[in-house]
Amino acid sequence: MREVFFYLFAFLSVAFAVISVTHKNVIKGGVSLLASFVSLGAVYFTAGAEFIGIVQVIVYGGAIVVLYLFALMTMDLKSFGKEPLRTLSVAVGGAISLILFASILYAGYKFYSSGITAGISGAEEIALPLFYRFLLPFEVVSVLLLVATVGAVAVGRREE
Amino acid sequence: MINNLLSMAFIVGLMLVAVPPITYLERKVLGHMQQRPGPMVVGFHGLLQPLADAIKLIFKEDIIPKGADKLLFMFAPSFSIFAALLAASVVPIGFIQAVPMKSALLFVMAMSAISIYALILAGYSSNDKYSFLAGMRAAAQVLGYELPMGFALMAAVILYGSFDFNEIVKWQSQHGWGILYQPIAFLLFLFVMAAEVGRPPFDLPEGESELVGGFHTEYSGMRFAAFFFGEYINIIVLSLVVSLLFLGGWSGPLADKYPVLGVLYHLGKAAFFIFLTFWLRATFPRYRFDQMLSIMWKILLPISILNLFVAAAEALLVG
Repeated sequence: MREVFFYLFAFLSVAFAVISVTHKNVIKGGVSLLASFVSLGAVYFTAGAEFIGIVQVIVYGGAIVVLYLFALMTMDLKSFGKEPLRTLSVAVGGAISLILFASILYAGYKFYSSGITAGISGAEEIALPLFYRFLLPFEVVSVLLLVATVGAVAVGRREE
Repeated sequence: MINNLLSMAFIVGLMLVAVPPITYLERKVLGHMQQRPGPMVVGFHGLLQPLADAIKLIFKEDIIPKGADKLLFMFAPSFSIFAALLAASVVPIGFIQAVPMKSALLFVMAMSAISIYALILAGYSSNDKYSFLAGMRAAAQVLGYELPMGFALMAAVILYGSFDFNEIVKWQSQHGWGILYQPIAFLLFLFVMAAEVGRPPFDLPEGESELVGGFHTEYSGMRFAAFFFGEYINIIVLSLVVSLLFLGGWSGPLADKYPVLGVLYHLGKAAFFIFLTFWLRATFPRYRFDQMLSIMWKILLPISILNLFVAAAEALLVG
């Protein structure tokens, strides 16, 4: 039963991701991106990682896609999708995606384990390694985010 | 399993059945607060008014505007009910518990975060400037209240040490109600709750005085009703959550012996918060958009972050 839902939501997640890239209407693309994120959250649920699934929905579904849609709705959508695709951008994007896809396949092959195991379900299992074993990388990442925030404020500030 | 299904049926039934009487009570309470009788025509003191409303809504013509994005237009209202009912499914009422979940509180937050898409998509798909503006307001509002709400809840979670409602109630029955330890988080949550369910003084996406009806301007019949079901179910769910988090939920005298009493305690506490939303609506005018944003970002957010430290200190002292 669990496997059925796992593969169902995994399929939905990928399918909606494809739609979000290929759809002509950007708002609908944004909505299918949301559907993809929520399906991914459901995938985590079926794998027993309840906490990560919920956080996935809150962060991506509740905050990031709202921000995307907000930005997209303020833009002039009519002029969208009329520019022809440039060969160079398609080539570079395609090459990067290929490399990523290959490395994901390799990782899946190398760390393959049969069956879906529930390892991390609650907040504690995540918090303990994060705040003890991996405290330094965690703090470095938070400094990185702070830098990004300060940068965004500096860029977005109105000139006096 | 059977128990869970029964509880699920009970909770979904309760949510759907409770909405029409609540709309009646809201109109009555508002009426009397404004020194007028409220609905009086249909039945004794207007008691059958919800029934009349339901019949009217069911038989109304279902209109889809010409330039509307049909798929999203039809999808948006159902999303509102769907997210609200999902949130309701994890909230236990006394011993009635549909879906036991370790991170139930977070799940309620996730569903309330998701439910805002009903407003945004309805606003976008209606092809109407008023609806569109309302959708934008809804998007900006959710970004505003989500953070103070999250931090207020996290303060409570730090204190109780769990996301599980059962654990939270157990902690409170041992140490006393959460409101005694976390009055700031309680007030913050009440404030933000009004924004979350889109009720006055934060009903900006509706804004009938400047945006006609806001996001539901173009909706009619049952699709229009669906938004209201979603809104009221959200109110019920969040009232249940507040009473769980800060007022001890189903704990109370003799509740251990007679679990039914616990259910009644819990519903009674929640009823007070539902009444509070009516009260707020009758008392406060709507905030302006920039006022709402500055309240959320400049006042509530810093308070809620500082409150985290208070909660951490309390957790060390009491825990």
